Amino acid sequence: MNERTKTASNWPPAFTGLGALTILLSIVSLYFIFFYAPTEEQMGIVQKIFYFHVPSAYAMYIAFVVSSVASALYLWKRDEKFDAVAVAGAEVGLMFCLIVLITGPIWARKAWGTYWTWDPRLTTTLLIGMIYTAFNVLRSFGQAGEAEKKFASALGFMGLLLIPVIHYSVQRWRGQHPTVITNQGGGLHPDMVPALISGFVFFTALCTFLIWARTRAERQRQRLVSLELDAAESGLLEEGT
Amino acid sequence: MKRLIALIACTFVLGAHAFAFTTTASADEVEPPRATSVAESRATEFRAVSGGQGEDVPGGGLLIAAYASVLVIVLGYVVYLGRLTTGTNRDLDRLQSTIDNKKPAFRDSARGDDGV
Repeated sequence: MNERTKTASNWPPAFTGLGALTILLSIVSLYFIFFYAPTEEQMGIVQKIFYFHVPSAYAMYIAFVVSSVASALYLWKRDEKFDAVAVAGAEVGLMFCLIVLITGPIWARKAWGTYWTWDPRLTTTLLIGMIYTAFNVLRSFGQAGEAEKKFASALGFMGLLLIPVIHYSVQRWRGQHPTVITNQGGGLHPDMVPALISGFVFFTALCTFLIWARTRAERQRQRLVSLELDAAESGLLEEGT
Repeated sequence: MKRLIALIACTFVLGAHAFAFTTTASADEVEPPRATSVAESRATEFRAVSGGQGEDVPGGGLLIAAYASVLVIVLGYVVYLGRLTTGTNRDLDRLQSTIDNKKPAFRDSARGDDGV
């Protein structure tokens, strides 16, 4: 094993600890959801989707904000580290967005009788998902040049502007999306609160862990590209590679 | 740099105004009587149930589908990350060994790790 492989496979103890903590939190969260929280009176057992759906949306916000801030910092500083964080945030955020857009319609099938409706929150969530899909597609076309990186960073920063629109769309425009954890309506039954809080904690840890892991992978990829370019410029890759 | 700071400042100012507008607008609005659901507001007829009453949409299946989707997506992404990392490291090893064979001194100049 050479120096570079050693560096890549030596995960910091904090990273390993966070991974273990995330697994532990997932077990705790599932316990609260399925063995502690009561079944909801009107929707029945399908309401339990809520305990992963809402924290997924929250994790999506975290990841997209991280990506947007890192994009802005990359545009300012032109540091590859920020670019790696921006890519990681966009990809992880898109994964959580996908979870939101799958679990939401499954819940809606029972609650509304249809998988999809053009509710303001659903529509704006789909829109931000499309923005960051564009970001990821732009960055996945082989080796991104400086122009692609700058354009993707600007796109990532623009996505930040949509996050408050999604969050306040429920209050601003009338729609069908529930507003259980806002100050409107009756709120949650006290026995349901631990399940939701444990879901938030678990998804925060999962989001942090995945962004960290993806950032490390992207930094390794950047080193590979840099090394390839340096080697090619030095004429070391002319034959047999 | 000044332009970027100005852009960020404008964004936050606009965001704050938008937030204030939405909260004051929602507070000032006179709430119309809330229809409890779309189904209730559109109901025009009531019929007595005949026979046993059951759910037309099975909740258990939907719940399993939702949690299975989350599991598949998260595990799929973790596997993708693992393959990406392994593949990149393998390419780095291959490139490094090629460079080492041709020019050992090149490795020292190219090596770098920021500890992320």
